[in-house]
Amino acid sequence: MKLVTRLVLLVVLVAIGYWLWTVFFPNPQKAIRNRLVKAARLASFSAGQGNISRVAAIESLGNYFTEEIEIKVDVPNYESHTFNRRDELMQAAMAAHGAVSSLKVDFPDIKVDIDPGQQSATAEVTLRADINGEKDAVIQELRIYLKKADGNWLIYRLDTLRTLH
Amino acid sequence: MDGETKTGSFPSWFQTLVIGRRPKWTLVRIAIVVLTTFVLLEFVLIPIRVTGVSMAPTYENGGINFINRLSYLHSKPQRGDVVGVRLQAGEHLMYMKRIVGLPGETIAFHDGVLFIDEQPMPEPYVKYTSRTWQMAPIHLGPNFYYVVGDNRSMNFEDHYQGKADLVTGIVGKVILKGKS
Repeated sequence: MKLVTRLVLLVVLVAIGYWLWTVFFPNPQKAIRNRLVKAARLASFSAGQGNISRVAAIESLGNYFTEEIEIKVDVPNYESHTFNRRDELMQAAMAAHGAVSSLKVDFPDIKVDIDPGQQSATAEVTLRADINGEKDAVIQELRIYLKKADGNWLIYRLDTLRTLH
Repeated sequence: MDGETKTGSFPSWFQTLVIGRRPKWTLVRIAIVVLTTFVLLEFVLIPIRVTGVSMAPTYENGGINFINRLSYLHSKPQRGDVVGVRLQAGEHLMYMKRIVGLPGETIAFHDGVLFIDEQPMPEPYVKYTSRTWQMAPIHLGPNFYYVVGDNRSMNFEDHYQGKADLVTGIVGKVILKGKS
């Protein structure tokens, strides 16, 4: 009986150890997923959120992009935009805070493909954005290109996709 | 005191109600129900909640429905079928639209009226109309279907619609009929 208890304990310990390992050293797919989820959280803001925390969130969001970027936003019913520098994107994000009272961004689906060299990746994501709490959310497919720099996955290119042609 | 009291144990009728007279068979039945539900919801039916107004008034915002993944296993989609269209990244979100154009056909909208191969097509399910819908003819290739929502009172530009591929786009048919 003692042996069985010890074996069970050992299995539990190994399972916890494995789980901790995956938390602290996630595989690239998981690391990119976590990063995109965090980016979505930083892009979101509520009506009651203070200005200081909004600015801090936008500045943190900037850390998810490379200095030089290529972002083409072409969403039906919205003006199309192209951003070539991170600063431009940050300014647009700041302007968005003034234009809408609340924004909730999330990625319900994220599909990640890592390149063989493990230094760049492509993520296809479904973006859902609730603007001002309206019941018709904006649904948009995105293709996000990332590369590894100083141990972090940074976005250097983002394209909007059309599901129905 | 004649009555026998068992402290810490459930009365027998309660035990029978919860786990049955033969607990082993109850376990087997639970396992079968769980397995059947899992298989059904994983491989056959996709539960969905309608959000948005593009299928109004047939399907209203907040309604619950199911998509049958197997509906087009042995037959092709028909005009008028309401289908789920998947997005590339996954199936947590999908579009719910009605098929109005079939492969090989040419689709157009003139003054809010749907034209198939230059002939006006009656659409009894469309209750909210607008005469502002205009779309130049689009030809559908093999395997492509034209999908659009029932709510035509929306701005044409606001209403997401287009060609969906049967192989990679259309997931299945919506099984619960909406308001007719």
